[in-house]
Amino acid sequence: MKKIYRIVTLLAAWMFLAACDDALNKYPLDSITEEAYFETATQLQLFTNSFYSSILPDVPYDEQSDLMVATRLSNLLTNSSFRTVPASGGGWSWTTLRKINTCLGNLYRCKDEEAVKEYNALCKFFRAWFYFDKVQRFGDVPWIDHELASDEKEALYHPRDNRDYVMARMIEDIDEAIAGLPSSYANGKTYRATKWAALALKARFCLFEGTFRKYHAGDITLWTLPVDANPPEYYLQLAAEAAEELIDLGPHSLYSTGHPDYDYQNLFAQYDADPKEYILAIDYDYGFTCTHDASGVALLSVCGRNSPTRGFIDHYLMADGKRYSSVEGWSTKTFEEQVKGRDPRLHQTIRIPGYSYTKLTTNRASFCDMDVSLTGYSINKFVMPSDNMVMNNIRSNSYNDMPVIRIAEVYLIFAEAKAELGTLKQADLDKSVNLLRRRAGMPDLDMNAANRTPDPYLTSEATGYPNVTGENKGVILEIRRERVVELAMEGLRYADLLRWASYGRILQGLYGMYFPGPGEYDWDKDGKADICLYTGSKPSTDATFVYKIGTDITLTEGTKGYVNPNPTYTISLDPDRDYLYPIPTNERVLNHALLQNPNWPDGLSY
Amino acid sequence: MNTFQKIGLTLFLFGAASLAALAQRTLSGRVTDTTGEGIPGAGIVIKGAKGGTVTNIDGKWTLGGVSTDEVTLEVSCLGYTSASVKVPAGRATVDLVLENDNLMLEETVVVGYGTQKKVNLTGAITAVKGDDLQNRTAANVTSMLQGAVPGLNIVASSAVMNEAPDINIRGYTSINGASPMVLIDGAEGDLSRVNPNDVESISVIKDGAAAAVYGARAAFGVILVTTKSGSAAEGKATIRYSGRWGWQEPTTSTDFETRGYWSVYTINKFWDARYPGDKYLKYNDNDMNELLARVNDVTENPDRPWVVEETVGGVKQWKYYGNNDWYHKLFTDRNPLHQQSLSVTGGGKNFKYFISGLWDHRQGIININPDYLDKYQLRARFEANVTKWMSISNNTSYYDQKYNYPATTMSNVDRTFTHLAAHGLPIFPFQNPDGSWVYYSQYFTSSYAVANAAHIKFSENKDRHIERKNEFANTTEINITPIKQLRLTGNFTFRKRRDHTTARMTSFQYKMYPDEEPITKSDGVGTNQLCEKTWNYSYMSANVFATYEDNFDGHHVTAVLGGNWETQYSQYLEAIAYDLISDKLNDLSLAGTAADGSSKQYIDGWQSEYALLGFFGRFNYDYKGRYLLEVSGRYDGSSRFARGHRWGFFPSASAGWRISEEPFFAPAKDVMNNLKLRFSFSSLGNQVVSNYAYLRKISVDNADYMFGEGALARSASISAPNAGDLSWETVQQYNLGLDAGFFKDRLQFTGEAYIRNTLGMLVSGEALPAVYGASSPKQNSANLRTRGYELSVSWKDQFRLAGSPFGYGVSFNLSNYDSYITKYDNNPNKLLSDYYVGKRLGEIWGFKADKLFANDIEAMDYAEAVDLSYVTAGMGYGWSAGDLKYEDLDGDGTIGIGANTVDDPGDRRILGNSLPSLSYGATFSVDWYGFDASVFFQGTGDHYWYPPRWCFPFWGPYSNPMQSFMRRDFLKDVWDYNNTDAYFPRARGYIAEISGGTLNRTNTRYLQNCRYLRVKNVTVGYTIPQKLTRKIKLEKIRVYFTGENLACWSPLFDHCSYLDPEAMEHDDSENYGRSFYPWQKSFMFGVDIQF
Repeated sequence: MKKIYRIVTLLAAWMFLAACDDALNKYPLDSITEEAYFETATQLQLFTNSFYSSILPDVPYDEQSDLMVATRLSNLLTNSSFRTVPASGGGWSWTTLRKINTCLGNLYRCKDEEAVKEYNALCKFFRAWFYFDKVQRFGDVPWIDHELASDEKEALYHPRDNRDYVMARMIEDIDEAIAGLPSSYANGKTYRATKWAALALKARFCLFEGTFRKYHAGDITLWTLPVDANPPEYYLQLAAEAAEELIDLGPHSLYSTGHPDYDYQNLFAQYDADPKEYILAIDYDYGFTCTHDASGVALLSVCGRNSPTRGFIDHYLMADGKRYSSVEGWSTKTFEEQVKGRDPRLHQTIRIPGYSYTKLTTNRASFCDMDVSLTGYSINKFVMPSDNMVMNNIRSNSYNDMPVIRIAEVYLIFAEAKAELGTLKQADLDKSVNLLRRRAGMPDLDMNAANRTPDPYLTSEATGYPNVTGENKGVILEIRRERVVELAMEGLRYADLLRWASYGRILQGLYGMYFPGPGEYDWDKDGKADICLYTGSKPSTDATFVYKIGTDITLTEGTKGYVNPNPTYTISLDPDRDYLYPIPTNERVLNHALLQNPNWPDGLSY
Repeated sequence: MNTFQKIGLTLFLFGAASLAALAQRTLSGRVTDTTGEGIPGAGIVIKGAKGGTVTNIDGKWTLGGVSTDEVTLEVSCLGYTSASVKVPAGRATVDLVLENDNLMLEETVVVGYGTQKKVNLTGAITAVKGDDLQNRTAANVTSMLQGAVPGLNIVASSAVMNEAPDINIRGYTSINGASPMVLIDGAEGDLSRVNPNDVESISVIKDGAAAAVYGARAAFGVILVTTKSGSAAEGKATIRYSGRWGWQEPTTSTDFETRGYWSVYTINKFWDARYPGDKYLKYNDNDMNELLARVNDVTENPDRPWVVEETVGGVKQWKYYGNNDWYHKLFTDRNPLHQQSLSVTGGGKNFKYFISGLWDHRQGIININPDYLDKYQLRARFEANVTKWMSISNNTSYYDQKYNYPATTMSNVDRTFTHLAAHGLPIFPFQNPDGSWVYYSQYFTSSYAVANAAHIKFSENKDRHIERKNEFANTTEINITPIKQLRLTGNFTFRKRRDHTTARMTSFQYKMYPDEEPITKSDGVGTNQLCEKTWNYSYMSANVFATYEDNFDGHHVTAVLGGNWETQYSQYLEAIAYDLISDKLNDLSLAGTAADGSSKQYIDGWQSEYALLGFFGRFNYDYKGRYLLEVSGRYDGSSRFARGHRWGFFPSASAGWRISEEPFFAPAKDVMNNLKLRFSFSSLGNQVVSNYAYLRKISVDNADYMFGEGALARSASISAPNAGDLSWETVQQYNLGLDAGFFKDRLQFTGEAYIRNTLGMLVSGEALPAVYGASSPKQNSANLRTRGYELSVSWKDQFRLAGSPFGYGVSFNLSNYDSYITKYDNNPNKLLSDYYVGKRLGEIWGFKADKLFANDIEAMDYAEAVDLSYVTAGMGYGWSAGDLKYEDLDGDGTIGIGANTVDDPGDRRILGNSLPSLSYGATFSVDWYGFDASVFFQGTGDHYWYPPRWCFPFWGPYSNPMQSFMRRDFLKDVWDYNNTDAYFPRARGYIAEISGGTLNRTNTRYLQNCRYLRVKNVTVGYTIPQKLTRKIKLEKIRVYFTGENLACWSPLFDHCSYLDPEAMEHDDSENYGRSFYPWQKSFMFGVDIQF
C-alpha cells in the first residue's frame, strides 16, 4: 500500500511539473518560425521580394560622372577629405547576401518543384548581382555561398578571394539563373527577373570584367590574380555570347512608333514600363507613394541640381552623322549654336530652344535656368510631359517606371564586346547599334569608316579616351559615344569609367556652357533675351535670367569661358588608388587576413 | 481597524479584567499631540485597576468607574511616548499631551508576500510614506521618487507630459538593460499610473535577498506600492478634497536669435566654411543691407516692411526681411495646469472602504492651439471580514490619460520638435502678405521646408494627435485564518491596458511666388492620412501562499510558501486611411478611393504572449529580536526560453544582528538606541529577452516596392540568427547594511554597501566580421560587476518655540556605484568599439584638445607636422587660426585612434564617465504654528557628456547652420580675429555634425560636466487653526504653495543655458538634440480641505 502511495505521489508530482512546463509553451502568434516557412511558392516569393529593392539600383537619373555634376560633387568625383577609410560600413555590407543564402539553403523544403527551380534561379540571379556590385567596388572579395554559422571560423575569417574566382562563381550562378528563370510572367510585365534579365546581367558583368581587366592590365597593384586566371577575352566572349543569345532569341526589341523626334523621349516618359524594350524595370505608383525625384532633379532648384556637362553634349553627333568636333569652332560655340542640328536624342535628353518642352509648365521649365542647372544645360529625360504643374513642381512626385536593364544596353554590350575581341562585323553593328541609330533617325554606324578616322575628340588626351588602341579603336570609340548618348542618365556611366580606366575624363574638367562674355543672349530668337550676364552693376534688361559673373556664376576665363559648375571643388582623383574602395578598418581589425586595397592607408600594420 | 486601535483595544480588554468597582467617579479628557491635534486610538488605563478606554477620533475620552482616590492614569499610543500622570481625588477632567515617539519600534514595512517589522529587516529596503508625496507636483509618482531613496535612480527620457521616466535601482544593471519590478498591491503595474494621493507606502527593495521571493524579474530590485485602505474609525467618514492651480515654465533659456540679419549672416558664414563661396541662403549684399536696416525692429516698422515684393528673373518674388521670433510664436513660456482630487475613506470593524478620484489637467507649451494632457484616476477599495476566519478584499482602479497635441509628423510630439528644428528662420513670417503660408523657399539651396510646416499645422489645427492610455485593474483577495498561526492567502488580478493613438495629417496650401496659384502639399508632411493604433494588453496573475508565524521561548518564526502564475497577451492593431474626404472628421471610413476602386487603407498588427510560473518560499527566524535570519528561494519558469532551458532555481539568504538588543549594549542605549548589522546574499534570474528570442521568426510586411500588381508588394523578413540555448541571466548580489539610531531615533543612519554580479548576460556572442551578414547571435556570455553604496542620515526633532511646538527635520541621502565588465570573451583585442573586460561602463574616450590655434602660421605648421585627416572632415578652407588643436599624445605624427583598442587607443584617453558619479537628495522641513515649509534638493555628482552631433542647442550652427532656434548672439562665443578668447572655434558649419568633423570627435575642450544641484521642490503651507475651521464644519484647511524644479546649478550652464542637465542623463542622446520639449519647472497654489 505504501508503495502504491509513493508511486501515486511521484506520478502526481511528475504530471504536475509536466503540466507546469506545458503552461509555459508559448509560440509566436504573428509570424512563422523558420522551420515552418519555405513550404509554399508564395512563401518563397514573399521571401525573395525584398531582394529587388535591396539590390536593384533604383535612382539612376541623378548619378554623377564626367557627364553629370550636382551642387555638391559626390566623393566619387573628388579626392577630398570625404574619401577616407571608414571604420565600418563603406559598402562592406553582407546582409542581403545572407538573406539570399538563407533562402537558397531552405527553399528545397518547398513541395512545389517548379517553384523550387524558379526561386533557386532567382536567388542565384541576385547573388550574382550582389557580387557584381561588390567586385566593382572592392575588387577581390570573399565568396560566401551559404548562410554562415557563427562558429564557421574558416569562412568568417577567410581572406578575400581573387576576382577571377569570384567571377567564376558568379558565372555559375547566372547560368543557373538563365536556365531556371521563366521567360515571361503571366501578366506580361517586366518588373520581375526573367531568364532574359539574367542573360542581360551576365552580358553586363562579363563585359565589365573583360574590359576592366583589359584596360587595367598595367595596374598590377589592383589585384593579385592567379597565373591561370581567365584572360579578358574569356569574359568578353561570354558577354558577346550572352548578349547575342538575348538579341537573337529573346522577345525584346526597341520601342518605336516611327517618330524619331520623340520616340526616345516618350520611352522614358511612360507611367508603365514598356515591356518590349525594358527587360527589367521598377514599378512606381503615386497612389502608393512609390515615387522618385526625376522631375524634381530636372526642374527644381532644390533637388541637387544635377546638370549635364559640356563634355556630355560634345559626344552627340550632328544629325547627319558628322562629328561635332569637325564643325568649325565647335569648342566655343554658345548654347543655341552648339545644340542646333544634333542627334535628335539630344533634344529628347536636354531642353533646347525650339523644342516642345513647354508642357513642363512650371516656372522652372526654361532651357537655360541656371538656378536649376549648374552648367546651363537642363534635363528632359525621365520627365513626364505632364500638364500637371504641381506634380512636376514638387520633388519625389515622379512615378514613371524606371528601367533597370533595357535591350538598348544589350545591343551596346554586344557591339562593344565584339569590338574589343576583334570579332566585330558590320552585320553585328546592323543588328545592334544601328537599330538605336535608326530609331533616332540617325545614319548607320559604318565600322570601316569609323576605324579609318577615329574622332579626334574621342582620342584626345584633353577630351577623350587616349588609352584605346588597336584596329578597332575607331569603332570602339563610336560605340562608347553611342553608350553616352543612348544610355544617358541611366546609372551606368560611372562603372564605364571604372572599367575603361578613364578617370581621365573626369580630370579633364567638368564644365558647362560657353559664354564669350557679358551681354544678353536671345537663344530662342523671340526678340526677348533669355539670359543676361553682367559684371559690375546690374544692367537694365528684360532677360528672363540675369546673372552676375563671378558672383552668380563662375566662368573659366574670368569674364568669358565655360561655366565652372563647382568652382570650390578640387577634382584630383588618384588613379593608383581610387579605382577600388577601401575595406573598413574595423573589419580588418577583426580579420587580419583581409588585406587593404592598395594605397589606402588605414593605420593598420597588417 | 488600524494598528493603533488594535493595541488600544487590547489594552482596554486587559484593563477591564482588573476593574475595581468600589467608589467611583467618571474621568474625561482629551489626548493631543504637541501641535494640539487630537490623538485617536490612544489607550487609557488606570494603573492597578481593571478597565480602560480608547480615545475617539478627536482624542477625547471618557472613563467611568474610576476610584475616587488619587489614581495614576497611563496613556499609551503607538508612535507616541507613553505618559503616566497622577490624578488627584476630585478631579474630573485630565488633558494630556503626548510627545511623538521617534522610535516607532513597531513600524512595519511591506515586503514580498507580507509585512515585516522594520527592526527585523535583514535586507536593504527603503520605505517611503505616501504623505511624503503629498506636496509634489511632478506629473507622476515615479518622478516624485527622484532623489527620495538612495540607490533609486529616476531618469526622465523626455519632458513631454505623458512620458514616464525610467526607473533603475542601484545603477547599471545589465548590458541589456533591466528595470526593477513594480508591484502595486501585489500585482505587476506601472508606477507612473498610481495616483499619488492613493499611496499608503512604497517599499523599495534594493537587495536581491529581500526580492528573492519574486524570482526572475526581481533581480534588479522591486518597488512595492501599497495603496490606502479604509479606516476603521467607527462610523465617521473622512472626506478630503485637494485642489491646486498653477503654471509651468521652461527650465532652459528660450532666448533665441530673432534678428533676421544675424540669423542669415551667421548661417551663411558657417555654411561658407563648409562649401566655400556658396551661400545657404541666397541673400545678396542688397538683401543684407535691407536686413541690417531692420535689425533693431522688434515689431514691423511700416516704413520698412518685413516682406518686400520684387521681380527677379521675370518672376515676381517675395523678399523676406523679418525679425520673427519663431520660438515664441510657436511656444509659450508659461503654461497653466491644475489638479483636483477627492477621496472618501471610512468603515467599521468589519468593513472598510476607500474611494478616491483625481483629475489632472496640464496645458503644454504649444502657443497656438495648445497641447494638453488630461488625466483621470479612480480607485475603489474595500475589505470585509466575512467570517471570523475569513476576509475578502477588492481593489479596483481605473486610469485614463489623454494627451492631445498638434503635430507635423505621424509620430509623437518629440518628433515634431525634432522636425521643426530647421528652417524656421527669423526672416520668414508664418504667412506671406497675401495670407498664403510660407513653406518652401527659393532662397534655400535645396528643397528645404520652413519649420517643416509646424506653423501651418499648429495654426490650422487640423493635424491633431491624441495619445490615450487606459488601464483597468482589479485585484480580489481572500485571506483565511484556520488557526491563529496560519494564514492562507489567495489573490487574483486582471488588468486590461489599452494604449490608443490617433494621428492625423492633412494637406495644406502654400505659395512660393506671389503670382502663382497656391500649391497643395499633399505628400510628405502634407499627406492626407489618419492613423489609428491600439495596443491591448491583457494581464492576469494569481498568487496562492500560506504564511505561518509562531513564537516560543523567544524564538520567532515566520514561513511563507506559495506559487505565482502570470501571463500577458499583447496585441497591436494599426489602421491607416489615406486621402480622407474630410479634413475635419477623423474616421477610417472616410478613406479615399484608389484608382482601382478600392479604399485607400492600410492595416497592420502583431501579437505576442508570455507566461511565468514560480514556486517560492521564505523562512524567517529571530531569537529575542537579536539574531535575525532569512532564507528564501524561488523556482521559476519562463515561456521565453526553449524547453530544457526554461526553469531556474534562485536561492537567497540574509542575516542580521541587533547589537543594541544584547545585554552588554544596555549602558549605551541612552545614546544609541538601535544598532543593527545586516548581510545578505542572493542569486536571482533575469529574463530580459524578448518573448520568443530563442526562435527564428519570419514575418511579413509591406515592402516599399511594387511589381505592377496595383498594390505594395508584401515581403518576408527573417529575424536575426540566434543561439538556441539562451537562458537566464543570473544576478548575484551581496549586501552589507548597518542601521543605527541615536537619541531615541531622532538621529537615524542607514548605510548599505553592495556588490552585484550580473552573470551570463545575453550579448552578441562574438564580434563577427561583416561577412556574417547579420548581427552576431546573442549568447549568455558576459559578466558585469556593479559596486556601490548608499547612505542616509536624518535628524528630526521638535521643541517649543513661542508657545507652540516647533518641528524640524533634515534628511540627506546619497548613493554611488560603478560598473565594470568582468567577462567578455569575444573581444580579445579589447576593441573600444565594443565592451571589453575591464571596461568601466560609461567611460568616455576622447582626444586632448584644449587650445585654439592663435594664428594661421601656427595652424598650418601644425597641420604640416601632424596628419590631422581624422579630424578634418568638412573643413572647406584649410587649417587656420581659431581651429581646435588636437594633441598628438602618442607622438606618431598622426591624430588617430590607433588600433582602436585599449592598448593602442591612438591619441585618445579616458576623459570622464557618462554615468552620474553620485546621486543625492536632501530635505529640510520645519513646521510651527500651523505653518509648514520644506525644501528638497536633488542632484548628481560628476557626470560627463560630450554633446552629440545633432545637439543644436549646444553646437548651434556648428551642427547644422539652418536651425530654427539659434542661440541668441551666438557669434559672441565664436572665435574670430577680434574675439580670440571665444569658447567655440572659428565658424565652420557642420564640423560637429559630420563624422570626422573637428567637433564631432570627442575632445577635452567641449566635454561637459553635467553635475547639478537642483531645488527639486519647495513647499510652504499654512494650516488654519482647527478652532476656526470647526466653525464652518471643516476638520482641516491647509493652503500652500509648492514649486518644482525652481532652481538649478550646473557647470553646463557656463557654456549653454539652453539645455537642462537632467536631459543628459538619458542615454538616447541623438533624439533630443535638434530641439526638444523643454524641461519644466512648476509653480502651484493649492488647498487641502478635510471634512
